[in-house]
Amino acid sequence: MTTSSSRLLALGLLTLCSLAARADILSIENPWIREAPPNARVLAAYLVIHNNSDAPVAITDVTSPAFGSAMMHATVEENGLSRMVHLGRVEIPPHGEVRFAPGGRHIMLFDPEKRFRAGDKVPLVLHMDNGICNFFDATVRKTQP
Amino acid sequence: MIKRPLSYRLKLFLIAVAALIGGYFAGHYFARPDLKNLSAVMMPKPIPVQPFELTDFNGKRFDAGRLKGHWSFVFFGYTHCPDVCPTTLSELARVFNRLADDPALQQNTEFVFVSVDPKRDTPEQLKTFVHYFNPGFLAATGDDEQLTRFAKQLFVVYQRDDANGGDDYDVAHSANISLIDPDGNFVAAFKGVHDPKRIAADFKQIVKYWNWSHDNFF
Repeated sequence: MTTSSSRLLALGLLTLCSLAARADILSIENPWIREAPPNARVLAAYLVIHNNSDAPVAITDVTSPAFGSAMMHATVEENGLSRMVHLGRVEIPPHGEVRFAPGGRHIMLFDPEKRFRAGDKVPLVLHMDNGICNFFDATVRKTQP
Repeated sequence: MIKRPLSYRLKLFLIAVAALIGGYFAGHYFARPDLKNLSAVMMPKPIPVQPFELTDFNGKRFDAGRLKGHWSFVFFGYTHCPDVCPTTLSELARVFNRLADDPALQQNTEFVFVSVDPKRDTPEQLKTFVHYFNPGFLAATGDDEQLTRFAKQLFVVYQRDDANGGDDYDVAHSANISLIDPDGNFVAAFKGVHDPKRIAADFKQIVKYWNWSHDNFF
């Protein structure tokens, strides 16, 4: 974990979520953000979220101090049209996982605070319906890990 | 030891064997190349692209004539698209890199990003965006009439959700990559999740097939 505890606390206060047991319920695999052109206003983050608990968990929001706003989206194809739909809630079954990958679910990130380059670490926060948050850093990369 | 002339029968036999071997290789050399395990969808026959008129990021007219004399990969999207468009452009950049083993073909292949969001995608915005992926990529856009005129020929559709007048809207669009041959014909489409390795391999097969058809029928 590269994020310092004071930064976590600041994020916790900022996002009004509990830090209790944050590491136990979810584990995050390969969180990454595709490096984007210098003038891109919208970026996407991808990851795999595992639910380590015996109860279902729902992600209800996502935030990042490095972006103006963030939301969960899915690219869906209907009648030859790829369109994005907003996901207000993503359920993860007990000991199950949910995958966010190019062309499918993604975390849409609007208005980056600066130009992010491959190798940069960007803090993200997943908010669960039980009031607990999960804090992690996504790595900026040119290609899928 | 006395050298004996080969018997007539043996000569005939050797000639026949040589003819068989030669025929086998000639057959292979001139045979129609196979299109094996394509992920691309081939058009039943090449579809000539009909007139349309867009403008590229240099302010130059981009029309059906600009598609002739080289291969073109054409992809429709917009720069405010976070997932499908950057993913596809990055894949196309990798397709370009995979053509490095055939420099003539690499030189003779253009990659064109057509923006279906002319309001936000100014020429400068488009140039910076596509050049990030590859400095040789081209981008063009135009009004809806011209965009539709080109898009529908490639079975591409799009729908802009900008009815409320704001600047924050999404554009739904087909994620197909279209392949246009040097005669300006739409010949194949790549659909679904794109894999640069497969696209490059398919493209090389299609080019080989196309070259064979040209050598034998034109």
